[in-house]
Amino acid sequence: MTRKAQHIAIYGKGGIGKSTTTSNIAAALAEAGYRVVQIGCDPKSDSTNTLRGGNYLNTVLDSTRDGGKVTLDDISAVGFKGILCVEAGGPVPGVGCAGRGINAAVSLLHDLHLFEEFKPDVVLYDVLGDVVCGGFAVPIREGLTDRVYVVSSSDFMAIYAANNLFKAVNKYAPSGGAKLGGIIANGLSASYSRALIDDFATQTGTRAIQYIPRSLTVSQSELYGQTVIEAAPDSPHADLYRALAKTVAEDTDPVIPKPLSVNDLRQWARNWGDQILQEADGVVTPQGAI
Amino acid sequence: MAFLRQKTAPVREKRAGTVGAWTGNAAGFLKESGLENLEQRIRTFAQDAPSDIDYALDILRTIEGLAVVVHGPAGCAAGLHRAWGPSVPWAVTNLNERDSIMGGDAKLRAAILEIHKAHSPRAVAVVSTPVVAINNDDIDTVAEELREELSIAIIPVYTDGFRSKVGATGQDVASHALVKHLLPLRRREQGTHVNLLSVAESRADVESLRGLLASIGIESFAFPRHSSISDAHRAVEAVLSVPLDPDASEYLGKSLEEAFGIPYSSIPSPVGLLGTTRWLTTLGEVLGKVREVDELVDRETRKLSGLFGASESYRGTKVFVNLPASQAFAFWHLAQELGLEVVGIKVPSIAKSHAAAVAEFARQAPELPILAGDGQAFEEVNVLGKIRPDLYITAGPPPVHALRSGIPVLNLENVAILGFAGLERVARGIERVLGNTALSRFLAEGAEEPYEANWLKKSVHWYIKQEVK
Repeated sequence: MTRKAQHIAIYGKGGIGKSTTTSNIAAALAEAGYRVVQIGCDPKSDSTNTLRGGNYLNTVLDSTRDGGKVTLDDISAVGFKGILCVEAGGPVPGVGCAGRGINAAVSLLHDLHLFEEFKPDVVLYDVLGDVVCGGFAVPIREGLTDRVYVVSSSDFMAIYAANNLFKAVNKYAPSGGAKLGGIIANGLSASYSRALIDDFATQTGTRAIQYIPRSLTVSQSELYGQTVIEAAPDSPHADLYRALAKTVAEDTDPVIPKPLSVNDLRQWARNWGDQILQEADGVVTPQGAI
Repeated sequence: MAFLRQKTAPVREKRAGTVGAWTGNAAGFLKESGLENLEQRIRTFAQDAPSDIDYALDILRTIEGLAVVVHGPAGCAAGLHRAWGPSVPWAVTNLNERDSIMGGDAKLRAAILEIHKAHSPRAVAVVSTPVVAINNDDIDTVAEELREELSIAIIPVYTDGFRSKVGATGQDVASHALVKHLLPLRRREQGTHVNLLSVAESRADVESLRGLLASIGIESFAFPRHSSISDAHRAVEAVLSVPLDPDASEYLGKSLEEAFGIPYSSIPSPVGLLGTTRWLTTLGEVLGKVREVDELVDRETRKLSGLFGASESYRGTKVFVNLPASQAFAFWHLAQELGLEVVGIKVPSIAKSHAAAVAEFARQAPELPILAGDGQAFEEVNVLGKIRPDLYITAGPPPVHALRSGIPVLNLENVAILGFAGLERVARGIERVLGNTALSRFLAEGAEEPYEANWLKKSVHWYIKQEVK
């Protein structure tokens, strides 16, 4: 393939399944023949674990510690079906500034000519949680990535984090920052989950590009230290991830989202709270079907 | 006050209602300060000004037996090199990008150990900087560990460069750190001496006043500027603390009062005949030396009377005064004593507490321009152009912009102006500067004006706005 590499950032609240989703997208793309790089932008340095058997990978920031010459081989490992795995790394909890770390790690990857040498088709950035400071917004600023996706469940705090990310995209997109590809709805378990996320997408002028229900297959694969694509390639969930990967790779229509104000978001959530309660109470209204 | 229980001192804006940007005249100031605290202003155009780090370093660099470690990137130690540079050993942790990500605690530890090995200081002050403040490096833990390991005081000074718009907050931050981490926890002995609280004064000023007090049998020691670590315990054994500049040392004085029960007497700066007499008289009353003070004042006033006769050469000279507020307002009286006319006053910052000092001259000079701002050459050039003084008097970085405007400058940075002798030194200085104005004439000739004419036409307060909340 000779096309220009696509740089894609995946955000979302902590614990929502960003790394699982990103790794499964990477695995599905690799399986389909793409050359893929996955960069974990999280001081925990565990984004690419399920792609490469869970061994510790020397992080980009670790490698700068001794001040010696760093090569690409020092800070990357080849995982499932040739995926190049990189972990940005960061300070130990409670010390230093992880946001600045993301900034420095991304700069170093450029200095090392990672993308020129590896010639990837797709580069996936798995970015820690909410956009907590300017450092964590680095992957969506200054034209570094083409598109950004947000992983969200139907929990309010996950939606809240997604809305915050929309604010950052909205801020940076006009000056060359990434646009939003859409929402990846993950870990859905309630009857209203899908409708709630769809409604949030409508309210903010975006869309949900895939719905991934909560599943034992995903948990089991995680416990085996593998992606679903590798551990359960014939499962329905593997197909969901394959479809998601195809959408992500072929997406050509990202948007600038319209985030809700804090008050509007709270009011929107309250309305949903009322609806869910009515559903539990068995109240039937003409517009109430969810 | 209970400030000492906090990690560091509050900002001046909060503690004293200090404002770093104000412009108007004496009557206007009285009117506004007669209400509540002055409204905070912001500058919509600002030039460089010293930060709290500069002010803190200016104290620490004079304490004998102390070593200073600036915890930050190398440039943050530049403040040590104002005037003649530090007289204490110093180091900077030289934080780089990696340290800003991973934390710089290890470098701080190494720097303290290194400076201890090289210079055997009796205490080490760790001065925090903006990078460290944003990163939240854990200075406390490093200090705690090394206090035990080295058995010396390790003094964390929590300056950050951005918390306060008033750089003089650094004086309070350094004072807080010294009282909390350097002084003994309780007094062992009760002395008979007085603390001369010196936060910004020159050694010459301090020695001049110590000599004056010694002549009437009052022993005094300076603290913290020009003190030594080995004598620091004296600060807690004093019978009284008196300020040389009540703005700069109020926090220190009240901290000593709170922690050790040493009474703090707030007296206007001993500048000029009136100022020095008032300062000594208050001190004499508290210490039961009224007669000795009266005799001293009589003696010194007689000595100075010759000076007033000799002042014809500069009588009526229009002076612009740029000094710390407590000195600048006291200078009004000194100017009267020498027959000078003060036509403008600039102070680094101003507060409601200055109302009493301003009231002393506001009746005679209600229109006298007052400008508050640290640095801010443009505002000065603007006001100087409007009032055209014959002489510019300051004590700090040389005001090149005034010289280029053709105004001779008397820089009192190296001249002791406190006490009776200060009056004479100022008089001699004025004579010297006015006797030879070649420098300012030379610099004014052909000097290009750095500011556009339409800027200079604007009022002085053009860029000083009240914050709209």
